[in-house]
Amino acid sequence: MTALLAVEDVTKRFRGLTALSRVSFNVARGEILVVIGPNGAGKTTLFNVITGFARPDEGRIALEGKAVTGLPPHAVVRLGLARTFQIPRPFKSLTVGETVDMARASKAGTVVRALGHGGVVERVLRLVQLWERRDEEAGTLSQGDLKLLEVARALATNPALLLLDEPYAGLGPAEMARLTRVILDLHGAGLTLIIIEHKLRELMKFAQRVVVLHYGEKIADGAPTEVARDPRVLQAYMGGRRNPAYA
Amino acid sequence: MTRRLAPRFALLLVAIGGLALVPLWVSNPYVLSVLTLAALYAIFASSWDILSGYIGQLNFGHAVFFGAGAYTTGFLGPHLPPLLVFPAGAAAAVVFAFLVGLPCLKLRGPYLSLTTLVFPLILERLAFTFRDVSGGEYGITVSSPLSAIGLYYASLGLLLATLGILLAVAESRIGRTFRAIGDDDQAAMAAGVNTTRFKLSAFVLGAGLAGLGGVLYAYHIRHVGPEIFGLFTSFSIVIMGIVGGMGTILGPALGAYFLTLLGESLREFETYRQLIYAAVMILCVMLFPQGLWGLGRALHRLLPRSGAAKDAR
Repeated sequence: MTALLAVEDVTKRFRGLTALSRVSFNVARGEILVVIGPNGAGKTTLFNVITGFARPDEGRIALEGKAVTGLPPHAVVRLGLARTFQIPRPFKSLTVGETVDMARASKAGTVVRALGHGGVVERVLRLVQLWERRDEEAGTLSQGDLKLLEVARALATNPALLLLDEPYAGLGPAEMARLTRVILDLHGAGLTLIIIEHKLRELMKFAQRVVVLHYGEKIADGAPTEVARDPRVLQAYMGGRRNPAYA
Repeated sequence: MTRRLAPRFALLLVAIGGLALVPLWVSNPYVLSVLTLAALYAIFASSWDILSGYIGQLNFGHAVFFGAGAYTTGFLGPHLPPLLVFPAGAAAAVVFAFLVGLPCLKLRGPYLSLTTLVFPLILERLAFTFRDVSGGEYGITVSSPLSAIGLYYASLGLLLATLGILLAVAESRIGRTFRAIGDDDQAAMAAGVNTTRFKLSAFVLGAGLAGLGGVLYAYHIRHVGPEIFGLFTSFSIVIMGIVGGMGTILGPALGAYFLTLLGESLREFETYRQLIYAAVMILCVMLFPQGLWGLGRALHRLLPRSGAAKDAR
């Protein structure tokens, strides 16, 4: 069986800096992959390259065996690969409901159909608990709600694979728990996820596999417990003194 | 969102209906001619708004589009029946929408605005250079198939159609996508929006309607010359849009009427005319940053809620 997403030898350079250096990994359908790494390790660049926001200098990216390398972002989205941004990017002149409606694909996909009832907008907004606030202006939401609106907007496009860029950053404990529930619900509905995080702690509950990036190179790829014991990973995080699971 | 659309359509019909009754009382041809001009400027300003106010691509070269319509009238007017001149004028404007739109797609903010500013200046030069075709600085004389009153009603009709189409688009999912692109085009891409196609569509829609207005403009002025591509023409559209209230469609149309009538009513002050005009403009922008439309909305909110007056936003 081919992988849902195949990233092969992807290299991305910015002027002299190599942000990604021959990074390869596969993501199987239904998997939750967590990408961790210190600041500047190339995590967001990896997302940008996968989702068409940046063009890789070398390497190939394929979704269900179809090449997506070099496609513009909207075309990548239509093939079933959606993303959120690390710092929420709401549409300030739209309401919460209009935001999701605007991103909505013409037909609900299997993941969205597995969620609750009603139209796409209602299903998606109920999942992230923003349905009651659908008529509020998107710009007025709290940071935590904005993060969930990012997820809702991405979901409305019917992704087979959802990429979340530091979804937990800037959230309080209650909001974190809410987000975790959303992620688990989506996973239960059959969605495949790649999640970028700094810290593993919140994700240890459900991460199935962890890829560690360090200075643009993949230095570890495996089960969370294995990765957390990997000497190269320990070295990369805090000079080896601390375990990334608890950093 | 029919919730927002219905009161605007009602307002639009009342306003156009009122203007349609004006010739019953006013027979002064000068007043009628000024009101025709105001309607034409309202077409230009509102068609400018769909790109500039919604997508936020401040276009300083809208004159290219209605100028294309006007010159088409000059070229083809003597050879074609008027009913064919209109689609030809719109088509010429749409061709220019692609010529201007394509290089502008990669640009943003001031770079985009400066680029759009250059196009009318190029056309102005071309009009001087190819004087055999364009008549150079004298331009081309146009004969109108319509009487003054006919022109008045034709421009009102076209204004009604323009505003109706633009309002319907602006409040549809397409219009919300335009606004989303204006808010954050990268986020719009991430939401699956082909931003290039939407931006070009806004260029084409705005240009096509402006082109139709340009044909009527040439019939009304009975002349088309290079001054239509002058800096002042393009700037005045931007100013009408800002004074009226960008991103509201009806606002820029209101701004066009206001500034056209203001400009004409100041004629008796001769020397001070430009000065007063500029002062009023600056005051408008300073006092009502949301434009006249925003001012109207704020006043409306102060009114006690009664009957159909529930349109809070």
